[in-house]
Amino acid sequence: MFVLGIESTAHTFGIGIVDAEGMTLADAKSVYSPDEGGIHPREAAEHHQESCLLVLQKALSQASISLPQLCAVAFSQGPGLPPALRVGAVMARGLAYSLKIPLIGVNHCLAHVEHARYFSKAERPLIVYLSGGNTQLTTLEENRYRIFGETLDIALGNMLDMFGRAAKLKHPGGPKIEKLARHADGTYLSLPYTVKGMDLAFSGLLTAAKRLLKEGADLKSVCYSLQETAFSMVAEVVERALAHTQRTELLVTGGVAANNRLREMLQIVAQNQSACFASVPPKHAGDNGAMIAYTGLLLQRGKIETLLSASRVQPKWRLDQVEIVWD
Amino acid sequence: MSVVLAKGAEATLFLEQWYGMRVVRKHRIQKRYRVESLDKRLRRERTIREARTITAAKRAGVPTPIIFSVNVEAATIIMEHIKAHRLKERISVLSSNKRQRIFNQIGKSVALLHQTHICHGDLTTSNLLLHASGKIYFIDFGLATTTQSVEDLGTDIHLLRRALYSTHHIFWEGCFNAFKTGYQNKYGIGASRILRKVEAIESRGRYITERIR
Ligand SMILES: Nc1ncnc2c1ncn2[C@@H]1O[C@H](COP(=O)(O)OP(=O)(O)O)[C@@H](O)[C@H]1O
Ligand SMILES: [Mg+2]
Repeated sequence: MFVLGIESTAHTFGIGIVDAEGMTLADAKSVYSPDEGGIHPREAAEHHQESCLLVLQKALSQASISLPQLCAVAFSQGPGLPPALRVGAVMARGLAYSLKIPLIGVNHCLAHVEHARYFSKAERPLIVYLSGGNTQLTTLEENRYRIFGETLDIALGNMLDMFGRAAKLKHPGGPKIEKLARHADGTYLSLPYTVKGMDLAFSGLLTAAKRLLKEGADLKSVCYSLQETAFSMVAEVVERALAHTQRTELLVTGGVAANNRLREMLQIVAQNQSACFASVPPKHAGDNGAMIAYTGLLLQRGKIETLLSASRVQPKWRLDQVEIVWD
Repeated sequence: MSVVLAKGAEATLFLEQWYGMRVVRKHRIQKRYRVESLDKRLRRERTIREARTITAAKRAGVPTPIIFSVNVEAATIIMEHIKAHRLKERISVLSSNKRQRIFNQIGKSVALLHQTHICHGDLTTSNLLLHASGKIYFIDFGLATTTQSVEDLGTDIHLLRRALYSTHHIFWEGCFNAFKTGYQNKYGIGASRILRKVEAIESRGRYITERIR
């Protein structure tokens, strides 16, 4: 009894396989990296089409299983870029139909959140989900993830990547900015700081950081100041949400959770509010198929499957629209 | 004599005697997670902003604590102690009638703030105090801004609506409807424009794909 999960919301085409306990047996992926500029949805989809069979073979051999041993196929149905999403959806429908096993559409944000909970064993955490496309603070409360705070414009990871491009760093910019910041001399250049209650906005910060670059400021110092400002904003709203919800566990997930400086700051915030801190293991932080497979397993246990007629991709599907049948 | 009254997200609040009065001293404490210059800048800015806005709000007719003294360098404010509970803790034990009345009043107060171009910036039930008299006190003005933009005022209400929805999902809708009625009645012409903006903010997809360059 194995569940296969397909991830294809943005850059990553990934396939993961979990066993009946939710343990990851395979986590294969191929990541589209544009030569220059941002992600181009059609090119990402072409990349996914070209790599999907290879990734499938890799996943099956990692798990040492064959297709007939699967009991369900899960795929990320949204939110994401429509052309990229469709590649995963088409493959999932094909597999489910030919193997005569259930098809399960998974919300991508839910997968990040549930997979992080699986690793952390946290009971009722406040979850901070920070990635290229999403920035959300959420807790599970009576069958739904409730959103307490989110970005009012662009996502944190997206902001870092856009700055990376302006600084001519190769995609993805986040890890390179982290490295440059680590080697800066600690000069903090003042940048705009925008929080509204438990919400954030990053575009003013991005514009100002790009302007500093143009004016010839030291790249390392700009990276350092950009990170310090953006992550302090996140830390502040997280602290506010912890104080407001009075949750005693803090859990961080999403691609940006791999950033050491960010985790360090959030750890201090948790301490301030007497909460336990946990973070998704860095190797599972970014987009991956294993988290889709794992969430597919949870949905299957809850007897939820997706009919072919309801399997269209949902590019704007929000986390708080999903009904949660487990706790 | 000084006892800790509450520990908020930004500040620690002490209950103290001050010239024979019982007062609250709000101290915005240093945050170890952020660089010192940023930390200093934020704590000073917000102390100034809070003291100034609480007074302006009171002048506009919104119940707020009286400010007695401000120390910008130390990031402390000494203010009147309001003997009240946070609305967050009381909301579920109120009768539905009383809840409606309270949210109607909150709507009126927010309209008064907005008419004087004050955007509170952090409207949640943690920052509203319910006094035994039934009056609602507004506190925590550190994120307040002076603005006339419909987008800003709409965002202010959007934050309250989301806080109600996420924290008090069982009866958020009744509360929010009563709020809107109070807001509309007090604000008069122009309120519907702001409330429409709230709807627009709500319906914006939050998944924002990267720009194609
Ligand atoms: N003037 C006051 N009188 C009585 N209680 C207060 C007063 N000001 C704040 N409090 C209490 O302290 C808590 C935190 O204060 P607040 O100003 O919201 O700080 P923070 O910015 O840290 O959230 C409030 O939720 C309330 O319970
Ligand atoms: Mg507060």
